[in-house]
Amino acid sequence: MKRRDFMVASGSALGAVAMGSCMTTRPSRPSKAKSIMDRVMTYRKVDAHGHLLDPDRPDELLKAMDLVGIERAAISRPIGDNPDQFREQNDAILRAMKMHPDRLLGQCYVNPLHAADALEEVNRCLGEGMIGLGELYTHAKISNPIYFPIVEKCIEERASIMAHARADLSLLRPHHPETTPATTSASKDFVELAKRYPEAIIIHGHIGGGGDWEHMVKTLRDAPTIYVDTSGSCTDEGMIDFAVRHLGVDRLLFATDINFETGVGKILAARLGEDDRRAIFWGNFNNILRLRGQHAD
Amino acid sequence: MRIDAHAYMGHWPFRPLRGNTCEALVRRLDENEIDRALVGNINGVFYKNPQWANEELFADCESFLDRLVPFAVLNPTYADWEYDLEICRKGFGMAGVRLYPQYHDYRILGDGCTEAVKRIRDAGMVVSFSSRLVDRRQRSWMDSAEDIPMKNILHVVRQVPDARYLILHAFTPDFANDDVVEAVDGVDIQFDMMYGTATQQIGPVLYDLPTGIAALGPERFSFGTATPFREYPSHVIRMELLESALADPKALAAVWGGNASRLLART
Repeated sequence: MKRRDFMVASGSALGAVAMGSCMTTRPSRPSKAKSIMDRVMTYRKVDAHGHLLDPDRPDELLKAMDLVGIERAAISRPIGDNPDQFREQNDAILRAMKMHPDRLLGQCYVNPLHAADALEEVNRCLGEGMIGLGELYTHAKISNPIYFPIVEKCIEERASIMAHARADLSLLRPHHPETTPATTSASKDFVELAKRYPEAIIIHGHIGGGGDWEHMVKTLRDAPTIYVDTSGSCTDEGMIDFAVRHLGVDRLLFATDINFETGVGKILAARLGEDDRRAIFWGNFNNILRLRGQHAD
Repeated sequence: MRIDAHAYMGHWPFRPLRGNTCEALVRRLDENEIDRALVGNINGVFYKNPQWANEELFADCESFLDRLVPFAVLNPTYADWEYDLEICRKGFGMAGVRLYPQYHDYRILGDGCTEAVKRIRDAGMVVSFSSRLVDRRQRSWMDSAEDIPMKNILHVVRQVPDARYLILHAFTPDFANDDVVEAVDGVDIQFDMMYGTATQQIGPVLYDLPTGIAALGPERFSFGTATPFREYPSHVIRMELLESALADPKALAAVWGGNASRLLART
């Protein structure tokens, strides 16, 4: 008997507003909710956009990953502006990678305004086994020429470039009050970079993490070399389906940006075939990692 | 019993919502094995006279009153709203009122709002504020409503502590904050948990759900999804992870629906 049938049969379907507290003691526990966790654990997952919150406790991150069945995660610590600060953050990521080489993948964070130091740091991080760059933040738009030497290095290394993206009104229509720095990358900035460097592996950060995701997707539609990560706290119903419709499954990368429940839930909620869901959860990003020989399997 | 304390029907003007009828909501509850939902009509946010929306809601959910608990949307600055309140309560059997000062052109901190809360309290209905309807970062250029800060909601709660409250899109960086703990002490108030996490990895727009529950008590939180704005599975996953974090199974049952059931039992 299904739970709903059981409820009706046991006389618990009450009127519109009268519900007694005795209803709370019902012992039946769900088949379906358990099956949701079964579904969660069905899929292999690699997180294309993660962060290490506590630099000394990567084990805490692993616990959270385990809760929703994330096997591997690309992580960064985008904190600080000067070279000493970004080196320190990258050191923390390198330590975590070495502690858990089968689980944690490093993304190198730099401030491109310190051009020489940033390029040197990218060389160091890729040399020590990081998979690429991330999460490049709001110091300069991703299309700013100051990034070009770094991008060219990543092309040479077949390393991915993941950057923070927003689509706030203040970026799209500058007469609106500023809600994010004007140097924040908007989707069109990614398109501009991709046109200049079609061979670059560019990952547009979190369509659920900052602004009008419909605008993001439509801006990126005709830029086939750009990947989009699905992370961010926004879990609007239909967001993933809209992205699939306009970008295609192959361009979407599962990611959390430290939103584990919703990161996984939004992919489960999408109206996808099983092969497509597996591609987003695992295959697409694993194929990017394959280019540098850092894939699983 | 599992109750979704935060659901909608109706239209959002800035993008289509799928499954935005009461019939579709019931299907969604079935798919997720949720017994009941507290539902309001989004249209009431945008109609000048929100009573049209309450009539629509009642007509749409009349066949599903064993599953759906309708909540009115009212604007206490609109003419004759007290009469509409009475119709919603006595005519439609609605259990609560959702107030949207950020969309209905009045101040939550104003005396008028406090008086409205008292009227709803006196009608025996639940008072519901929503700090937002959508993430401000993705707002339309026509949607200029600001988020209501939790401190402003708590100001009203202090003014009218004997009302019953259900706070939707409830977000504060720290539910264990002394101000929150003090303001809700002795108050029949519940928060949805849309921005909570049970993973102990607290990103910038999240709070630690087990810590919040420990500080305020499990009786203060209710399962809520904001469907059909938001997808459903994430919220069920959150509850599943919370199960591991809460030692007391009764606490989990309370959050799943016992608390909402208790809140409604007094209407």
